[in-house]
Amino acid sequence: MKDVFLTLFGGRNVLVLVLLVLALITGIVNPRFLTLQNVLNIMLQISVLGIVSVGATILLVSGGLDLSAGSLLSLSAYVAGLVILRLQSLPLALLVAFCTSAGFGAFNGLLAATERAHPFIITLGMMTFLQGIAIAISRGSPINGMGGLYELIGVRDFLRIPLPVFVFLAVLVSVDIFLRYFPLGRYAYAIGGNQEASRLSGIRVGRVKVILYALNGVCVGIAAVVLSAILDSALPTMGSGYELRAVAATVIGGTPLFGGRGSVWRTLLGVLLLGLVSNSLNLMGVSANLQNVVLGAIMVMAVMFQGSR
Amino acid sequence: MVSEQAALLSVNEISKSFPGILALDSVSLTLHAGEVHALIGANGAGKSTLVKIIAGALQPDRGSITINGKTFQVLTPLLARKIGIAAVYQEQQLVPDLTVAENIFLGKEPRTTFGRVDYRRMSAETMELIQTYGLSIQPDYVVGKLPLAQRQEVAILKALKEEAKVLLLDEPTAALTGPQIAFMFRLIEQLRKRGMGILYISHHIDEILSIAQRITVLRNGKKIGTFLAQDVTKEVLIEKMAGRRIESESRFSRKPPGDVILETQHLSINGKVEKASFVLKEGEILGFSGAADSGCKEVLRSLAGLYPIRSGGIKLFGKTFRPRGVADTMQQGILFVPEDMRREGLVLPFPFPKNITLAKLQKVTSRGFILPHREIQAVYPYVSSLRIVAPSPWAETRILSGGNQRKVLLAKALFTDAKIWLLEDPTQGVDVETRQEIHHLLIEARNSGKSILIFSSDLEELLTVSDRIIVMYKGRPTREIENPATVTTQELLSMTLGG
Ligand SMILES: Nc1ncnc2c1ncn2[C@@H]1O[C@H](COP(=O)(O)OP(=O)(O)OP(=O)(O)O)[C@@H](O)[C@H]1O
Ligand SMILES: [Mg+2]
Repeated sequence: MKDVFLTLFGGRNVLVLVLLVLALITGIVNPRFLTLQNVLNIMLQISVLGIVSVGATILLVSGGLDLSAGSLLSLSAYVAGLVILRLQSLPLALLVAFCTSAGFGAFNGLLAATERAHPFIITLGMMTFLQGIAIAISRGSPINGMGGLYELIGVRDFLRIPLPVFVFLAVLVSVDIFLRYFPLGRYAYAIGGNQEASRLSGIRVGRVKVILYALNGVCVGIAAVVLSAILDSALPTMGSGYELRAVAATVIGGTPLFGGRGSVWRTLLGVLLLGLVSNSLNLMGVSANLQNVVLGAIMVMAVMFQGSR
Repeated sequence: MVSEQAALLSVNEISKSFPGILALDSVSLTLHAGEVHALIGANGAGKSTLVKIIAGALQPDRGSITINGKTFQVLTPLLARKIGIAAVYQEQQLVPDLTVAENIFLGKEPRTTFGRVDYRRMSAETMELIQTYGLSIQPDYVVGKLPLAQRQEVAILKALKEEAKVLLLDEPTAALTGPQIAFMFRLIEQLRKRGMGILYISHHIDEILSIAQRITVLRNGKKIGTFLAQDVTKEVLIEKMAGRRIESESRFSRKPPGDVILETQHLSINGKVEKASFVLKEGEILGFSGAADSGCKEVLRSLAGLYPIRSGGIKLFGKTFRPRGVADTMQQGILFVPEDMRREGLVLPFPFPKNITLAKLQKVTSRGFILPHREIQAVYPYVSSLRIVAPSPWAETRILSGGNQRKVLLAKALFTDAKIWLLEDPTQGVDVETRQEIHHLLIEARNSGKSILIFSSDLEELLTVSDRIIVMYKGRPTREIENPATVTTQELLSMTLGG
């Protein structure tokens, strides 16, 4: 009985099923849901969370975690905004954003590689630290108008599909290739599955961790650029909450928290589920507070149904 | 004799299948009070699966279990414990972060009058148990920091504490050395005389013939038969397990070794090894023999770059060499294979081919990309020569039987093409046939110019494959055996004990 339950509800198949059923029901209740415009809307809405979640997947697979992703997103976006505001140079702004995100990412990795504390604690500290920096340099005021960045990514589309969606898909596919075909990607799974065995296999565990955290930082940087382009502004707190939603999406997709397994395609399913649910709740006119209740319940249920194996 | 014939436990036509494999095919057996009943079979025959079913850790597809006249279709671990079944599994079930005492009392902690855990009593009772059985551990040792053999002792103590009627032991001696094995046998004999029924799994047939009264043989999930120990010989049992005749292993021919490639001078490791000097030549198998505190393992581990060296030097290919971590020593062509495969050797969630290639991914990459088809092709020869049995090429390493996991670990080592191998108990838990196959592989590797440093708790194995043996006692090399062919296991055992 338990086995039947698990084959039906365990693993990825369920998620696809849940997604389809959910889409169908919402579609019946509210015909506007299945219009092309709304589908494009959903895709645009999930792209930023998607990019952050792909980064989170790299870390979760290797037994790591980054709770500072949201703060880092805010900080990177804000410094990019500052460069645009003061120097009017888009390439320089992008460079500064990526250096900030990859740099602090690598720093997280260095701290994690010391093995002095669990990454949960390390990045929890970094979350406060980076958020503090972002608020301090902004003095709390937002930057309105990201200049050329908005025109470059924020409003463009191709075949009516918004550009941020392509950015998300490009990140997704690149990271998938990285995790599956690069030795470093293989090492990520190995370290998540058994760190000691990885070390005894000659893998330089610390070095690999720094690279993985830096890559997560790059994803956060891309998300920062995309989000500020969509909003055409940079706020010192614009990223807060993304870190937890990214972990939630990844775990809902079926990548376990303890490492060694998982893939970005599962994460895509998790992100889609979150996106669909909040979109359909919106269309049904459910209030924001009630939406959170529903989303939270879905997260818990989805994770329970994964089965513990 | 009559009282001993009462069936304490009977297993009735148990079947169990896993995806892609029928692990047990209506297997029945009975266990009498006051009996040691051995369960033998090749790797993957289904022994551990049967043990887990009897202990309630796995549910059978069909069949039942009768104990004390009561029949159960399904058992849970809790229920099994309640009706007097205790088990020591092949893969250890202890909590690494807890102490010995906490592990032994897990879930049944004594309470003070205020309902808090009574640590003092727990510790005292554990000490009592340790002394009763004459073990060398302490109640407050953290289990995760103990070596494999001592963790095994804790697991057994935990099972004994249950005061069960039926004790299931899945390869309890695999990680133990001579005196510890003898000690374990005395313990088992003591328990048997008290009327306990003991189901005992081991790949060491000599061991089994000396302590078991009856022996049940499994092959591919089917029961071949149950035999009285006095009616069978080692050869007969081996044939029953494999399904065909297996030639017994003769000692291998020797070849004069080449130049010295590794040399240690007065190697000392804090508190473990004092001034060990020896040489390893090209195309030579150098055995290390010694008890748990002899320092043999530490010598291997320091060469692998896992233990800092306090003083003394190492010369590799004539040059001074300071091991700086495993990645470094591997680059120098030195490969270390740890004994504790679940903790240090294998990435259990990986499909097993990925474990084989992990230490040498360069062999299956092209321009920095892993080529999956090349990976599958590359591991195939190792899978077939080591007879790795798995339900599919994507099977996770976690679900392979214990012996097959060990073979994966060895395949991983063979795959690296290292020049010098440091092996810790390479055939632990491996069946008779594959053990011989592995010995052949080691000899072949030696003949092709590899140098192998092997530590084994299996003295017979050391005498069979080594060209030379160094005996260590309390951190110092005490003997060097130039011609192992002239030495018996008994003699080697007494040397390791300081004789
Ligand atoms: N959880 C599982 N999922 C799938 N297959 C499994 C699982 N556990 C065991 N098996 C398979 O069942 C078969 C029997 O395994 P088992 O562990 O009982 O062998 P064994 O006789 O104990 O071997 P060994 O001597 O190597 O310990 C093996 O082929 C193994 O791969
Ligand atoms: Mg087994």
